[in-house]
Amino acid sequence: MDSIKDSFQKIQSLATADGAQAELLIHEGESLEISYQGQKLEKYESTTSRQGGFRVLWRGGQGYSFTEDFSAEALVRAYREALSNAKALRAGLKDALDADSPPLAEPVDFQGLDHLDSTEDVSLTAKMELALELERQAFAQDKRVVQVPYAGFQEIRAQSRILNTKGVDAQFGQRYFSGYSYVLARQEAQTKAGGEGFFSRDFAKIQIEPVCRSAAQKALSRLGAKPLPTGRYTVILDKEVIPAFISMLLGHLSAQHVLDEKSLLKDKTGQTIAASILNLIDDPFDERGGSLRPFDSEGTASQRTPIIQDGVLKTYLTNLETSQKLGLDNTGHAHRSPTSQLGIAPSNLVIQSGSSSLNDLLGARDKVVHLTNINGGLHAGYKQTTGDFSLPAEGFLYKGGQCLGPVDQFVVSGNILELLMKIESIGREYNRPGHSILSPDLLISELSFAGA
Amino acid sequence: MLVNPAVLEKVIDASLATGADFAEIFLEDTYSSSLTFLNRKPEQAIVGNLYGAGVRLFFGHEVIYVTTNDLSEEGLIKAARQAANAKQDKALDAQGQQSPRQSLKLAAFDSIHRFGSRAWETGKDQKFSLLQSLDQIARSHSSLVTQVDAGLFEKFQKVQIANSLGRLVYDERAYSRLNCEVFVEDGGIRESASDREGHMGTAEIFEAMDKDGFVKTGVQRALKLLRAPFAPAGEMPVVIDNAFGGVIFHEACGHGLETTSVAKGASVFCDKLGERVANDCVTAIDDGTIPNGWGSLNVDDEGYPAQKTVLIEKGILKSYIVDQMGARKTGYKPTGSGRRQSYKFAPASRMRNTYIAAGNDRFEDMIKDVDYGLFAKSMGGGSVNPGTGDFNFAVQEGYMIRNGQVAKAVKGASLIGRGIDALGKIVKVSQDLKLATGMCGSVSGLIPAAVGQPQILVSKLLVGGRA
Repeated sequence: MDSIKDSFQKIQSLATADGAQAELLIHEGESLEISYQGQKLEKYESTTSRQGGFRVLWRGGQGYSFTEDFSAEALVRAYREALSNAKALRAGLKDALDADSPPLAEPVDFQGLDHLDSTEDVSLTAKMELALELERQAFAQDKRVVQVPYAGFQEIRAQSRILNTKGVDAQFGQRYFSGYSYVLARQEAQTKAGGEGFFSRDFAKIQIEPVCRSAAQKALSRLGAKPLPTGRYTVILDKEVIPAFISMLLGHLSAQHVLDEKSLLKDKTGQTIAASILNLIDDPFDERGGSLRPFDSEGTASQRTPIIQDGVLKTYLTNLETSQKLGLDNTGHAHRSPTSQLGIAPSNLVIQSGSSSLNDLLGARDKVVHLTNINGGLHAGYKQTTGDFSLPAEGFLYKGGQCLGPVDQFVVSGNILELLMKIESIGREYNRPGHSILSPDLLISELSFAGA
Repeated sequence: MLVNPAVLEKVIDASLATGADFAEIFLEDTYSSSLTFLNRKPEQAIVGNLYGAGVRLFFGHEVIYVTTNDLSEEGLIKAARQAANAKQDKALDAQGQQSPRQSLKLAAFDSIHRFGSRAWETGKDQKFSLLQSLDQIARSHSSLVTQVDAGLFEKFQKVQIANSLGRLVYDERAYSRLNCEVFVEDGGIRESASDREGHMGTAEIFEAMDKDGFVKTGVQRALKLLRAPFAPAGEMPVVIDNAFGGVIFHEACGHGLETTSVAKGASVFCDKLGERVANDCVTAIDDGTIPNGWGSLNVDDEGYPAQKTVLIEKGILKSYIVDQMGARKTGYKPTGSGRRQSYKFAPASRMRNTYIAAGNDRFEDMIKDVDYGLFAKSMGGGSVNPGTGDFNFAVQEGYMIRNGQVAKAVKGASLIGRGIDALGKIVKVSQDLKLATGMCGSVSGLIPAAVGQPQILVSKLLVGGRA
């Protein structure tokens, strides 16, 4: 018997005596990051981590604690802290309905994803050479590439295990490689940035040159950018910027946010919330995606969940507690880390592709802005409560299907729910693997642009 | 002390075995607590412990960093060997000269901070009562308040840092922060506003704060936004309020002054030391020595005293923000600015309490000078690309300025610009300096950092409203 199982069984006896239920989520991982600067090793970071987080339920109160010490005594101490937190919360509950503890998951079988935990043997030398190439080949692309401030390789091994007092003991492990090259290109007084990344579960299949070529091309193509005149334009949202827009929806799709009166989609299931050509699916088994999982953070088996079908909102994303409170099916979207509280999050969100090529879309209207880059984080330009966004962006202006050149120094504004209704056409090629939001290009009938 | 210095000397010896010319061990034992109040009831209580160490080696300009959760002598030596052996790989071109290790000598100092009771010794009930009072105050100010999300976050961090130059320090840091977000709804339209207060110290300070004033500001702002039209789009003069308005300097300039960017040539402020980068009215400071300041430190995360660093003096660039490796690469003196979220991150040059110093202008005169522009009263988050200097940040609460007077409230504005360009357009700085707390995310994680400024007038910025 492994020592964690052994410790957890002792805690199970304590919990029974305390009239409590307990769940232990363990994340264990190793990460290696290597980057070069001026062909000298800039960073070699190897981190190992192991964190365990308890969730304890006691008469309707839920308490949490976490620890990095896995000795039997430390785990018992952490259990007791979580119990004490559950009791403190229970003291604050006056509502009789809340006095029922939310349920814990029962043991079930999962769809196996064992092949994701690869044991491919890769030498440290090979990894370091690959990291070195991410910088070297970026410089080799064009003499206008003047800096490669960020280029690096990363290897991740991550393991997740969940145990609870109902008998769940499930484990999932995966290993993947990723990297990026981010360049600055300069022409006269203008500096433009461009970046590209890769994601692979198979080291042997990683190709560096296309990554560096794409990064350099992005930066070079933005040189000579002119300010965009203020106005309203038809927009092609490039597949690479869609994750930023779709991530604005995440909170609103959460059943927890619906219950907390924070979701703009409250009371909207069964209603049309998007153009009828839009289909959005949560797919935990799509191997292009970066968020695969056989089970969620409560131990519920993952499944494919259609969220928006022909423009109609089919369901919120739920976990055990919220599905019970809202009378919905449990979609298996409980999400937490050992150090955080239970919430709700999607796995891979996939927008179903259409039939248009990017060129078809760019020529579909007389004048369009091809939006290729969002600068800056959503925290600096998206308001969750209202769905309004106002984000600095870059792109290209097209007239009659012909590119008039790069444009920058503008802000694109709108509202995420209004944007969903304005989708008029969907492309056929997807963004690169590794994202947890997979989408083709989208044609949006009109958005507001503040520029020159 | 978390680990006996004699053990650390052995660990440093093991880490220097392959020719590193500098070795450092950062050890941490951190207790944290997060309590939230939502739906008129206690929502969440999480407490926990971070416990680990990071071994960092320099070989010339090359850096190796290895972490472990095992603080036993064997565990630390294993991590030290792993770090040292990363250098032995054939892919590396050994160039470091091994320096002999100096004996560790404890650098004692008096803490510039005063802490009250420790985080875990105040009862949770008392803390939940505080959060509940914020909820009640918010709802008492308007019947349109539909939800209040209040949280109290505390961290008590013990750090021990030792390096091969003989430096040994031990420090304790307490942080506490109070958040309150208020949601309002009227006729199907929703809005929200959030505010926060934080300091280096323990949570009992919040008992004495003006809770009503703190919450009321947020409720009033959310209510104003309910009825506000979208800000217009286009370039215009912008007056930015004091306190959190300082996020503009943090984003537009601060990140570009960190040697993390400067040493790579990836900053628009490279090679500009001694040059004019702003008008005479602009003096900017990064100060790690403000007692109980949110971004203050007795010693930084590399074990050296925090300093008060004048970055820009009357428009002339005087200093960068320099950590130990940044100093090696650029030749500038370290400024006590090596910071990290936890042992899971290698330190990097980071801001502490960063602000534009008080000037000579009056707020009223700034407004009077503007025919048509924006008064950005409350700022949201910001971000920047230090390589291009492009920054953006959200205006939470804004007003149009028309004919020299503050006019109607507007929502949905964001401000964008380029670092040096925007800095050069600051034409007036008021006398009323205030600081505010923020969380800053960058290469070495998420850290507490204060921003600040007096009111300033920027002659022209692009306002991203609705066209």
